[in-house]
Amino acid sequence: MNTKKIKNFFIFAVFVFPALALVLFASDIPFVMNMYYSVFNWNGISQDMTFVGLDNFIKIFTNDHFFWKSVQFTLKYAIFFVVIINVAAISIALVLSKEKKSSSVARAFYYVPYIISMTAISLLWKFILGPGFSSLYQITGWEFFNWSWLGSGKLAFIVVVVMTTWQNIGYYIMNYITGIIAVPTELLEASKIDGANRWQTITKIMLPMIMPSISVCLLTSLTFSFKIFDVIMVFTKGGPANSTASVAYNIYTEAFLNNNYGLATAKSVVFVIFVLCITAIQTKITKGREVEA
Amino acid sequence: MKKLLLITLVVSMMSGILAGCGGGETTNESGDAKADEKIVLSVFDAHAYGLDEYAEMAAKFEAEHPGVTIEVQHAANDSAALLQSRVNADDIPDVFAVESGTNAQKYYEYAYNWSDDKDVLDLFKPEALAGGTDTNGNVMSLPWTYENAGLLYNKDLFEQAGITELPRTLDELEAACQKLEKAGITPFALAAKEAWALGQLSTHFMMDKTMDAEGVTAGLSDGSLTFDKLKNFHNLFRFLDLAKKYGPDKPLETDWEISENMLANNQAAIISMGDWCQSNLDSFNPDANVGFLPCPVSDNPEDVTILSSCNWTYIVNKDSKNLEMAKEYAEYILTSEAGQSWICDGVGSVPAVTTDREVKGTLANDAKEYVEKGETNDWIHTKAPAGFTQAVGPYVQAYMTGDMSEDEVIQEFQSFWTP
Amino acid sequence: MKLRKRNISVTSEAVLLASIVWLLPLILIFINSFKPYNDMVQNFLALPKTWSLDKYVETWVDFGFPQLIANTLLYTVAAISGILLFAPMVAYKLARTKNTLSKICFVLIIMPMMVPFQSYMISLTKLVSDVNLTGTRLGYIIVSTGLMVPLAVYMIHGFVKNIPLELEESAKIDGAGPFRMYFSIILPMLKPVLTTVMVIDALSNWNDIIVNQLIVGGKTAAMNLQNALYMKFSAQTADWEHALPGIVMSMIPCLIFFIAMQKHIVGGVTAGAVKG
Repeated sequence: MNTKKIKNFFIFAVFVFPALALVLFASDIPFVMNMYYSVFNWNGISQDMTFVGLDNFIKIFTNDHFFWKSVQFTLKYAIFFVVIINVAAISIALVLSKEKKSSSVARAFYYVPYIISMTAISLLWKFILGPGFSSLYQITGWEFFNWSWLGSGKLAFIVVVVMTTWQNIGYYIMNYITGIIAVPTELLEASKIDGANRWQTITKIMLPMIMPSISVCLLTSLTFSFKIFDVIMVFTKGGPANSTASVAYNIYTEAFLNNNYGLATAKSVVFVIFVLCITAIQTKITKGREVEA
Repeated sequence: MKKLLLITLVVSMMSGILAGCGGGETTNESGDAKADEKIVLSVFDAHAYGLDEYAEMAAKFEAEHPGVTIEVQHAANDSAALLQSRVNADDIPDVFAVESGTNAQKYYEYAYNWSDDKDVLDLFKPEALAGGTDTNGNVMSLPWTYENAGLLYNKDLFEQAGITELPRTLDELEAACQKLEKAGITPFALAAKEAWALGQLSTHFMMDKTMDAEGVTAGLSDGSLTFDKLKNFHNLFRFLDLAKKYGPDKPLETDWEISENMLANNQAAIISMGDWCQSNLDSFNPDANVGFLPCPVSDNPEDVTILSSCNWTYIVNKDSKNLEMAKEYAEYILTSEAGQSWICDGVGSVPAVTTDREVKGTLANDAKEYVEKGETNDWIHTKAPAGFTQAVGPYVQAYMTGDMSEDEVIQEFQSFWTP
Repeated sequence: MKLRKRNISVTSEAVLLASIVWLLPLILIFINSFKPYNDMVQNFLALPKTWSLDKYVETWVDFGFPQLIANTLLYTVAAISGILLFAPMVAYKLARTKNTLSKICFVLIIMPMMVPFQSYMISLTKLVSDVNLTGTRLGYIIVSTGLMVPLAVYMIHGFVKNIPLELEESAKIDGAGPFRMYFSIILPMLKPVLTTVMVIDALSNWNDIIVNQLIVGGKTAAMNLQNALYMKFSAQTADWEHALPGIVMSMIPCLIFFIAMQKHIVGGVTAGAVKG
């Protein structure tokens, strides 16, 4: 009996430990180090650090309105992004999951923005929103093209949502197509014979069957939106007037521009706890609705 | 099929690991340099222009010092973050560039002290060395070039509008704008999208010529001065109103690229930038006729400001394994013939070293006249508490969009400086 | 019936059309890579006046593209190999083992998905230097693989549920040991999700800038493509004339790779569905 347990554990170890070790090294341990730094006052450069206990945490909750502003932005962004990208991706995936030649070409096209690096993308959008829209305004006369897209907080928010949706949707479409194709066609045929119309087929049969894909995509889009940084860093730089600063950006500027590494790591700890709670709730909801094969 | 896949995977992993083990290790020698031993100097630079000339200069050094390799990391973007990470990873570069003032001070504990190397220090202009001196009077970093910040104007457009004398008061500035507008020219194209550009602009209005940057920053820090009571700070808002009224429709969408591009292509007459954009202006339009316009900040024509400072300084790591060679390299890039060639021709700026050499940049030459006449002042934003321009820039933006009032912005400036 | 059919085809046409709009930016980047700097800023949407390949050649030579491509290729292949080797193993084992240790391991592996990389950047570089891997290719490979494991494991973990337990039971009865079962039976069934993971990770590794900058530091020999191109940018200058051709050239392998992989994703899934 004992040898069997040992043998099982050994097999478990061989399967699990390499990947676990990689993750511990690349992320988990650094994060624990973060927790250590969060109780110090350190500028990130010097050799000395002063121990300040929970001061950094107190400061976050009493005297840091930019942090909370960025939390607000990040949450708002997360809601919009998660809903829009998943709804759009499912709809597009439903259309593109057919075996047609044009479908596979279109699928590739949707993925293209994912391949382009952020520096090129920000250049593109800068010119589309600036000179591009100006020319379109002159041609069509639609007020839409004349709004100050990057000059006002509300419009800049929309720009960020649109940009990131445009860039990432290819991944979600691919995921959903994988899920949709795996649904046995007999089920769909059977429902059609039973007289269900298209909408009913989608909502009562398709969606529950692809719940695993939905679960994955929801979590991925949720965690992606919580971590949003590249777009802000390269394109909006938190502007205009700090209205598009995300939490990751706030932490980054705190660490590297304000040289307040202790405070920055404290913020990251607070934020992670917060994200964990939300994702735990979300996973519970979607896991509960999954239908196993 | 699966077996084949598995074998391929394992082989790739193995080759990856082997390649990793084989390549990329440094061969550092302990002790001082000897010409026949292999030395690698790791250098950290923060600029993305003059790169070709830099490479030439580094190659020359290597040729003159056989066995020495220069490894440069040009980290123009995120240079602060990258340098910090390297310092923390115990991978401190042997020679690295930082912005003088508050930024450089953070690194002084790692810096080599040049105070006893009189022969090197004598090569530099004395005022230039002041920027790299710590509170005890030790020279901890060597200055690179004079960088000048202020308003740049398009001479051809001014001529076209019939402006014969440069405006020196805000009233004259407004009159000039009206003339430009009449001639169908867009007067302003501030890079209002860039928080840092607006932050720098605001320092012109913080300046008090009787105290210079040192005095102003010290006064603000110890409370003897407040933003509200600064002589010309309220005029910042008048200036911004002008820039908005006489500028493009969507001021906050103009970033540095578009701002400089408009100036170079004769599409806008005035921007707030500095002579570091020389290379950009040249590539946009080599025939552009641009110069410095001392910034009017009040009714008093004597108050006009151009801010000049030896902003970037080079620090040598005092714990470097090749200290002598690192020092030699630092001296080389700043003072030698090849280094001067990089600075004057490649970068196009006035070096901090005393020299008669001609400088290629027209803007730098333009500013040089003001510097020599003693009409310029030092930079404030590099002496301000860390993160100044990044923090206050958004407030200025908020004023321009109308989301914050003048008093609210002044309040925020104050709370940033004295929290 | 007829009306419904028409509705469906209208939507699919709209979707197909929209996909072309998605392609537009690629075209814009491509045409702008041929323009001189001023031209690009002044006339972004216009076609270039000349289609000369000079800048492309210059970029290729000056940047040392062959070395950069070799490095980036090495990194991507190594990272993908690592992921494909280790991630499915973990995902499979954790999905099938339902004890506390397994749950803890799972949380430890998935947790990094919640944390923004920027927040522990400095701590990571300190750790890497403590084990003397700073500036090495190996160090970069380990870190970049480790950063991609969480998402990969999460995706595969969900997919494992679709593999019926009966398959494993019958294989056990037939006398298959755990390793044999994993490699001959489980792994092939995971092909669709593995292809997806491979594509995502290959692309994200190919385009990586920040991790390479951090780990590699000043070691030009170990730099990857995007990092080298990124050095041409700063807050005050942008060498688009070389950067854009560089970006276009770096995208070509990605596009080829992605199009080649397309067939495998769809093909693999349909085969799996018929069997299951």
